Amino acid sequence: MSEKNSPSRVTLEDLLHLKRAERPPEAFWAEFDKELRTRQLAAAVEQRRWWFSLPRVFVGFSRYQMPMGAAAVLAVTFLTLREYREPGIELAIPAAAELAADDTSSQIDPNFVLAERDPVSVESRETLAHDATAAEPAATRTVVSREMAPLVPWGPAESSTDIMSPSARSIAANLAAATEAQPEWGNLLGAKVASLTAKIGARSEPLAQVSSPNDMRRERLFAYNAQPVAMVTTGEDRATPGRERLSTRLSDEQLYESVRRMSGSGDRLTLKF
Amino acid sequence: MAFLSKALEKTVAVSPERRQEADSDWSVVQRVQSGDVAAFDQLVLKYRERIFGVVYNMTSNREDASDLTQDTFIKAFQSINRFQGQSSFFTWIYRIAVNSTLTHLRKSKLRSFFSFEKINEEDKTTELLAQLTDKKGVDREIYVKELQEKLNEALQKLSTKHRAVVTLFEIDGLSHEEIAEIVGCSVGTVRSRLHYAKQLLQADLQSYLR
Repeated sequence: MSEKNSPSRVTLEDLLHLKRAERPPEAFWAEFDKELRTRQLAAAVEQRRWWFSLPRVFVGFSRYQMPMGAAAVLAVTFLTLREYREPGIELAIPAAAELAADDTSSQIDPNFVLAERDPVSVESRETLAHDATAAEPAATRTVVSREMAPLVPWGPAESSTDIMSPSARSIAANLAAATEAQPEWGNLLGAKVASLTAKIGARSEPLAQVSSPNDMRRERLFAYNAQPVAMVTTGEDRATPGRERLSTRLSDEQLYESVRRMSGSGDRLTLKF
Repeated sequence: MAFLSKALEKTVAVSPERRQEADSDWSVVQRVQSGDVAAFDQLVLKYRERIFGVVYNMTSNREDASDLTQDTFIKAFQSINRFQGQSSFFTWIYRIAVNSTLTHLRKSKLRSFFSFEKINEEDKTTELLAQLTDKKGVDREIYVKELQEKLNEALQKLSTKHRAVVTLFEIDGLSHEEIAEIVGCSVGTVRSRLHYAKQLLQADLQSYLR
């Protein structure tokens, strides 16, 4: 009888059923039990590694994964921002404020104002100051404040300087150290340094803190800071949009080059072509 | 007990026998949890052949199957205090076995050494073998061995996930719902995998099907 004429068909299920019939002999199970007992005892004696229990610890937190993750991200962001904030800005503001209040007759150097607003211009001015050996006092002042900053770390407030801000303490100490180390710097900075140091020292007096001349000075400084911006927006109304368009077209390197071509000293503005 | 039955009803369509089995397992598990370690032997005796069968058909290797079955029982014993009865003990221990086997297969992808057990000739098996061949004596034995090898080869050609589903459904006789719970996927996925795996097996074993 040929296979094709077979009345019953062998299906895939039938073939797989054969696999079900594959069973080890009884002797195998005796050995299996013996081995299992040995391994069970070994597992009971062996100390489990501490990290094996970690997943069990975190099982309870599984439902709080999202809020915990969000909180962690926020915390990391906050700490990062706090840690890596720009020190130049905080150094420049109090110094400029003190100088503005101290000597109202003399103009505040535009370098300071720019230093607060535009870090790129500060860098360019520093470069210019380094390049030009006959630097002017204003440029030198900026460089000094930038370079002295790391000398005195911002630490917790101590004794009489408790009320002072860390930046003010840092500036005062740096200026004092610079004056002691290099007397010609003191001459260069002139009476401003001395008066600034004296003022910061006086400010540490508790009674000096009761009055609010600082607020007035700060307001004057803010008013002064706002002035150049207003000048730019009103006086150069036509030039500003063009400059904005230009700046959007310029790459960073081109922008840097264009900034390098500009230099200011006293009441003069020089453009190199 | 009522809690366990409700949990089971929620997850899978449970037959009365399966529910009864789950209840009796749960009482043994509770004894083990309360400190009666010897009670665990009952569970080993009850499930060792079935677990071995599943692992053996997935690995096609006797030694590996033996080791993995022992591992399964040791893992179950170590974590039995965490077993809350949300599912049946049977499903739980099957899940341990399948996951251990899948991990093992992933690790030893390149190493493939097959060995097979002797087919126990029962009524149905004998009938089937007789149907497959009219040959007697030595020739028949050779034919059966060849068939076993072919079956093993065909199963090993499947991916581990497909092999697991085919083993649990066709060889171990579990329902789709139970397989879905053990493997950790939907019933639809189980059906789809089963269909695809059968197609491949059918193409591979065409010469034996008539």
